[in-house]
Amino acid sequence: MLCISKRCNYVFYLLIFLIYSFPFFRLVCEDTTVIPDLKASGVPIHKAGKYLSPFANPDYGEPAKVRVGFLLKSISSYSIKEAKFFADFYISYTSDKPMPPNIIPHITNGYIEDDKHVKVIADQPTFKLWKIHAAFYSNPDLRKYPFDTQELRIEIEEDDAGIDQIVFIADPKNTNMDVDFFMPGWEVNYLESRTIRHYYPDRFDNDDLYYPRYVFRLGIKRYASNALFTVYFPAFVIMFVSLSGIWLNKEHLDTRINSSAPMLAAAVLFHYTIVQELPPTAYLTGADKIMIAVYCGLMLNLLASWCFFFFDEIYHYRIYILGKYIVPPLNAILFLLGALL
Amino acid sequence: MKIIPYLLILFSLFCKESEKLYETNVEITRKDVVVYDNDKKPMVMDLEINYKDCPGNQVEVIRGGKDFATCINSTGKSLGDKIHVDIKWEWSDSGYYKWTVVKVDSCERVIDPFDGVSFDLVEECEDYFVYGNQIGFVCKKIPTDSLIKSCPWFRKK
Repeated sequence: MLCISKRCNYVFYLLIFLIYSFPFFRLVCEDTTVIPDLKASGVPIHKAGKYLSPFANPDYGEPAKVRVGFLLKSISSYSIKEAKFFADFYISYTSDKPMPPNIIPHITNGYIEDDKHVKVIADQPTFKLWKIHAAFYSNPDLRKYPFDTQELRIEIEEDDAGIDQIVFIADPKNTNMDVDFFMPGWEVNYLESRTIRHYYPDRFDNDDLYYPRYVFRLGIKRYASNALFTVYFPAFVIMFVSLSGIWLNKEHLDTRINSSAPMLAAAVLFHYTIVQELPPTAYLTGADKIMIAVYCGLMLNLLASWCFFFFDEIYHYRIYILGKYIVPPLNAILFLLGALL
Repeated sequence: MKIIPYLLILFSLFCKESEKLYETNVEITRKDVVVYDNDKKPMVMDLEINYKDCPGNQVEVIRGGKDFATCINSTGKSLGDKIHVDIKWEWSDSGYYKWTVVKVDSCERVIDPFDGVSFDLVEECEDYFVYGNQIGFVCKKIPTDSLIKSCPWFRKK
């Protein structure tokens, strides 16, 4: 019995040893068996040619030089807050040799809501034309808002044919806006067309191929008159109405204070309305700066009235005169600083 | 009385420049009869002109009626020929100045108020380089100072 029990113990210790040492053995086995074998990665590769990527085509020869033509028909539903817009456009590919099969523009900074929104008008080996309606995202720059210029980007890429098969060339002769192109509230500042060779961080083994990307940018500028009358003029009116009380003497102190305090509420509401139309930003927009100037001006006007409570009556006339001649220029300086900084 | 100069300044902001007439030579780059009448005579004509004397690429397509088409054909001018045009520059209700080609050579152009086809393509383009490699181009659509200096009718503001 004792002998059996001892044997059991040995077997038990051996089992414990095997169980605990198994991960170690497993690691050692893995270290010795995993050889950096490209075939074993599961991703097919090309041994010939410059690129190993499965999307490369070393047998294609010289890449097709594709001139990209672009006609922007319209832009609609532009929302600065969502950084989104819809665009209707024609895009053409014209090449010096037959293009690889199944070429179709892929949008990289937006999406096509429905397959029906891509209409193939021409599909020849050396000439292709599509009409596309799609949504795009383009980050706004609001530092100069409301005198801002925004850039609307349309980016198109060939994501299954690399630059070993197809190279894009922006075609200045065939890049235009439609005759009746119009964006309410905006004027077109510039249009830009460029091609880049895009490289993705590795998505799979040997993802070493560059992909051709076409980028169309439309620079749009807000009408200055619109900016003036929607932001600066109301801000000026708020400040001016608040300032009107400064010419009243101590006998009209209630009226004097009442000309500023409600304007502070009006300024906050007005600022809130502006902010509602914009996305949150990490910086101050031009509108924020002018509103900060307005807040400072309003506080200054209120302070000029509160001085009547803070100081003795013998100083009241002096406060009135100082307020009358110093506060308005200070308001003007604040407003200018808010507008120009 | 002190307020009068300020009022004058304020009112001057709302003043607009009076209408002006400019003359220049352009190149005909396209001449198409769009519609013929029953007698196979031109009824509507498109004339594409290029302002070669202006910087950049300034192209305009002007559409004219029967008299205009007949008159243009009678001048014998064809593609590539230079032709003299009169341009009227005036304030538009849209909030900016506009120009209109009112005469081509000796042909008066009467604009149909419902003409929605005539258009202009005012742009100054330049190549776009990154690290010395040309990757595209950029076209300015708002007339630049140099363009306005040599061709003042393109001024919109």
